[in-house]
Amino acid sequence: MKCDRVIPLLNRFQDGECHPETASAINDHLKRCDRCRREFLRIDQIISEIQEIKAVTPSSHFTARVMGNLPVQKPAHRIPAPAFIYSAVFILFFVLGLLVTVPLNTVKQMENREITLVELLMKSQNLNHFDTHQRAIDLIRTGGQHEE
Amino acid sequence: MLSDDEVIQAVRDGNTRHFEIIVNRYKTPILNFVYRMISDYEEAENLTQDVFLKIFKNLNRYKKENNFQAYIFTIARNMTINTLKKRKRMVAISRLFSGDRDEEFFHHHPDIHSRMEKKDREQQLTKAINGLKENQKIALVLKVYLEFSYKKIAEVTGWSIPKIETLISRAKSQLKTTLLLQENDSRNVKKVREK
Repeated sequence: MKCDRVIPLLNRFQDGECHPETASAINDHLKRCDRCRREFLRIDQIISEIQEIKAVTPSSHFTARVMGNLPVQKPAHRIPAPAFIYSAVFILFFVLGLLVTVPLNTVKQMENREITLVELLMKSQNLNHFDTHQRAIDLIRTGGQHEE
Repeated sequence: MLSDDEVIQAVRDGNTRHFEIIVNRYKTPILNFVYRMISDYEEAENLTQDVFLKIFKNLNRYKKENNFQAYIFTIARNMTINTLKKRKRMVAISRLFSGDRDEEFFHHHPDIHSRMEKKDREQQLTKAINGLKENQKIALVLKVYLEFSYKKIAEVTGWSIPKIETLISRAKSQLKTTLLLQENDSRNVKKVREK
């Protein structure tokens, strides 16, 4: 490898970011080439000195201070159900409601119809005294035929 | 040992005490990153605390498929940049009224020079790093102090790898030039004092 190819790669090489084969080739070149070696060592020395600057450490009560300043946590969120689940539940209840109320209304309507028919029948059959309402309904159901 | 994601889930489930694991795990590297950027220990510690508070408050925003280390350093980086911007504004305002007092300070405190000689090299290096452009400094600090790979730096900063490589390369060149100038200055100052 020649100097003009090595020099642009020195930075990457120094950062340990070269492909192993490239790093090996650069290493071999640096062993032979004084100029490139001097350039590399100059930067390497600066970086090593920077790395030797003592790391700072947090104070002994750092963690306690952080934990003490944490806001009070809200209760864990319930995972919100997707909107379609809510819609499906609503539709289900709506349909069930219809299924229950419509027949009830129908029965009531039928009863009301029966009551009206009973009145008509009573008038037509001249039935003034029925013991029970049910006799009149039976009459309607049997088509007006009753046994006296 | 619980992974970062396991700890986060525990905290989300209401076990706040688990957050202590995150704090103990990352307090030193975060503090070192922030300190190298702003060069003031007390301020760096306060800012590091704020970083953890912000992380705690926004835990629900963190997605499990992301890298938590990159996430935490991204927050630290953004908060550090905001602090540096505020500081620049304050320095600019104070200099309007008082001027640069560094030289005056050293003139009235000759002892400082002798103390500096002991830590001369370290201060030279720190000053040289502080003289870098912001992005160069971030890239260099993450690479040199925290030994992040280019890929990890890319995750933290959102920069491309070629950009990171260029920033670090320019930072090193700048350091080389600055330190050479500083060394020459130091030699000249010594010569003057010896006379």
